[in-house]
Amino acid sequence: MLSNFPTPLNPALLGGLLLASIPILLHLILRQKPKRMEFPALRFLQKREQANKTRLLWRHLWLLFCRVMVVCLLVFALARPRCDNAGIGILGDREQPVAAAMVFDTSPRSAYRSQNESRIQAAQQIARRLLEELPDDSQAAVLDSRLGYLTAGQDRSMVLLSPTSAGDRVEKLAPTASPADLSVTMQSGLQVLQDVDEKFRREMYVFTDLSRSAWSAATLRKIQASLGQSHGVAVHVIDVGVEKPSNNALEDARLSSQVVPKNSPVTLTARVHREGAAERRSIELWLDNKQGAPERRGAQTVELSPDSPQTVEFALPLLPEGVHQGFLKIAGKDGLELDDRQFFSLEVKPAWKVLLVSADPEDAVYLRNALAPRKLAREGRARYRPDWVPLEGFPQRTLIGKYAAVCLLDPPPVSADAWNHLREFVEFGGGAAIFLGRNARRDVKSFNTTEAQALLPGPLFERVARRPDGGLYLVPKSHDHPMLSEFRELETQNPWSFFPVFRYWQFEGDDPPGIVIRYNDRSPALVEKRIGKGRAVTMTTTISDSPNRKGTWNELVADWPFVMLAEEMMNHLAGGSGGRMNYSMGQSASLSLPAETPRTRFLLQKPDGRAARIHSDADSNRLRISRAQIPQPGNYLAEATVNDQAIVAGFSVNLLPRTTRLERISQEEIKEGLGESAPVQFARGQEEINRAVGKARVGNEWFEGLVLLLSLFLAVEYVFANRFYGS
Amino acid sequence: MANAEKYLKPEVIQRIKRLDLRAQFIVKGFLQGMHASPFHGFSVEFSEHRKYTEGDDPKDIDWLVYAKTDKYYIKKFEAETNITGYLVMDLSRSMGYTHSQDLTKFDYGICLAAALCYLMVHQQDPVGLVTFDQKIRDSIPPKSKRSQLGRVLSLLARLKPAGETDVAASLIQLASMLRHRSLIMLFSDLLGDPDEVMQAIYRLRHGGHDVIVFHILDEAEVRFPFSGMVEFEDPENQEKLVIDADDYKKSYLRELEEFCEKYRRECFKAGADYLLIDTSMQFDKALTEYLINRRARC
Repeated sequence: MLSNFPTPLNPALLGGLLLASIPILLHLILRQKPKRMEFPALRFLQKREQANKTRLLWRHLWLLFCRVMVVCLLVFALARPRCDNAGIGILGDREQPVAAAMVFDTSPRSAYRSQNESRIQAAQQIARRLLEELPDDSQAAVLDSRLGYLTAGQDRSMVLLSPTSAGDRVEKLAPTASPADLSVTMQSGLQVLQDVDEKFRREMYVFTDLSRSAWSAATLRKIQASLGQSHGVAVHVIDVGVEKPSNNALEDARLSSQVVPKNSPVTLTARVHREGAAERRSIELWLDNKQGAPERRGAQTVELSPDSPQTVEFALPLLPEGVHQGFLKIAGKDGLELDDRQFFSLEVKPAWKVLLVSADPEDAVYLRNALAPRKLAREGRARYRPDWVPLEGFPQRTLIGKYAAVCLLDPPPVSADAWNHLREFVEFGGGAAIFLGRNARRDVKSFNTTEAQALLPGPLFERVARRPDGGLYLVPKSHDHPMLSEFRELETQNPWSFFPVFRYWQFEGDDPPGIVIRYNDRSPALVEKRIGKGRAVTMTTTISDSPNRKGTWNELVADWPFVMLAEEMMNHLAGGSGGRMNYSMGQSASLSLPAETPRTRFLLQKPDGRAARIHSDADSNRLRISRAQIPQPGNYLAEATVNDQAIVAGFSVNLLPRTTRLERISQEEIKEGLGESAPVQFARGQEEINRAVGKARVGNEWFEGLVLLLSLFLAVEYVFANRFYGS
Repeated sequence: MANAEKYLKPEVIQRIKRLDLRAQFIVKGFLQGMHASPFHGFSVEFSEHRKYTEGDDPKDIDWLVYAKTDKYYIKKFEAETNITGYLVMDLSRSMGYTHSQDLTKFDYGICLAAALCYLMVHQQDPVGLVTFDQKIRDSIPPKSKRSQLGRVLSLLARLKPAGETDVAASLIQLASMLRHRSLIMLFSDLLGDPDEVMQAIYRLRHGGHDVIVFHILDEAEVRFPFSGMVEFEDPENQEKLVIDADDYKKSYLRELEEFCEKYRRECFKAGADYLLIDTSMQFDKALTEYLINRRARC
């Protein structure tokens, strides 16, 4: 069935090959005589007679060959032989009904406008014409990038429709903010075609802008695998992209912290990507005011170049308590407006209450000053509100909902109840920090009990490790951890190397998981452990010793790195770094609600002005929004009233950068990725599409080549004949 | 002069049907063209004076005598010597060939011979005619009377080229017939064996005869204007040859040039005059050749 051997479209005409005998008969019977004439000086010609005879014979044979070839080529050309290079099915019958899967890449890129039409409009126009030209009884399925995003039950596009109904579906296509991978859509198209009746020719049309992000290496591998399992499907990749796109895109907006205590500085950074010629653009910061209307709060002008993406950074003003939303925007217009904005949400909370627990109030001085310097505390501008309680009788009552974090500073052995209370506090989302010190030596075993180990990362070694020479210091494992992200700018040098540690605790056995900072002898220094919804961190040396004290355990508290680490640690433990309010398209959102919020019905305000009702999760104090309820990028706000008190939660959703990148991939790269044998043809423009589709249905016609050859033989025959018989 | 020269062109002569008129036109045209030539008065010598009478050409007045006698006398001239000339005409079938010209080689030869006959008779030189194919067919003994012109032209007008020829044998036969030193003017295409022909010419020269060889070829034989496939047939022996003329042109012309060059070289050695003419050439070239030869012998 699949063959590279040429098959004639009009096989009956091949009988005309018998006509090739005519020149032979004419040659043998009615040989044309040369012109006769008298010539007395014949003697001067006779010397070359023998060579002349041989040459004449050859010329006659050549002439005969030319004439036979002319007849044969004419017959062949009229018989219209063609072959199927792609190996995609029975050829020759243009009227065979077609089962067509029309796959549209409706990612945000498809909204890119050029020459007054978007890519999706260009694709719709071509698709309409293709549908009109389908043979009678043909069927078509229309699939777009929402596939995979929808569940199988919801998906009504995986069915074959009449060309008219398919045309209606094509008309309704629109860009999808959360597109599925092209391989998924194509695979679905192939699935649709897999079960069609044998009488249909199977064709798949992929409307794409040939962007590199849509045809990544991983996607190509998946498509190649899908095509390998589907035989007899002719795939036409129809390029509706723009050769040299020009676009600016804002990507990857990041807040330094999404949930911040009051008076905390917040910075907002974003990357500006440019495709096309370099230009200068203004990036604007907009924040919603109290009425919810956006107000411009800043602007920066940047030189945009395709070679070097620019990063813009805005310092947000100090904001009052509550949920705040806004966006960054590229001023002016370009081909693709969807990626000209990046939305963000953040929540400003009251200063977090932190409970410091130690045997002696002096032990908590350094941490208290680090978290709430006196001057700031007096002015009410401190980010934390530390309270101190003595260790005796701790905890007297439950801590849940009262503090954001609890710090045990150089704890002596504590009761099992105390450990249990603390564990319970952490399990419900609180944060705990345990700074082990000299007091633990009183009874090391009490720290290795089951209750204590629920919080600690591992059993303590019996003896305190010592390094009196001052050669031991902290070495952060990496700066990716939220507690250390502020140190990232100092990555080239380690600020801790100036602050030696002389004594520290070690854990028995292998290193526990969750090590954030080690010492330079590879021993764990700071270890994090997730417990329930909260976190507990353990530091293996104390922060209560003055550097000047005799027999001090370390000099960590001597300078600014300690202040920075203490602030970031509390921020992390208090949940600021974990309170996520900014998401990408395709993700579900999960918002934290005030503690002990009952199951409540929220009204979710969407960016397009629509609203939806959703219910919070009573058990976990969280409001979950599925990705199906997040159809587009923008700022979302969920509001409810509980006991006459308004609860507001918000979040922002942005496009994934890959869905707006317009950089093109060449056909050759795709062919290479899919393999040479893949039955894929590329077409751009109506004429190319007609030719490609015609070639797939009728085959690769040899007509043009044969006519060319025929002309050549005719010309040669003419020259020979003229020389032989010319007057 | 331009008016006179046109009578030397073959295409003009061809329009004149009568041979005597053809000869007259050719010679008159030629002589008018030669008016200021160094050949003026070449063939005659002063013999006597006579009184000037009205109608005589004043240029013939002998002014020296007038100075002495104060009377007009005209110089009278006559030929110093008489040259016996033989017009030897080849009757071979090949002489009847032409490709695109109106005059065949034979017609051209006849015109040329007639003109020479006319010229010689008017110069009171005896002239005779010999025709041959494989041997001598007709001959008119040389005479210088005016009536000789009529006889020669009458025979020439009746001649038809036909059959094969043997130039060498005919010339040898002619040599044996001649008793006095004569001027042999051979009109032929010489398409035979050149060695044998030259032997015969040597024989004539040995007999003290002057020989002028008018080698007449058709224009197509000289230029070979054919192209494509052509079947050529030799008119004398009916041999046939099919060739691609374009391929053969170069080698043919080379062969022909060698052939003619051989005649030219051998004639020079033998002391004979050789003149290659084709049917597109004017007649004066041939007549001039004769006159140069005639002057050399005076």
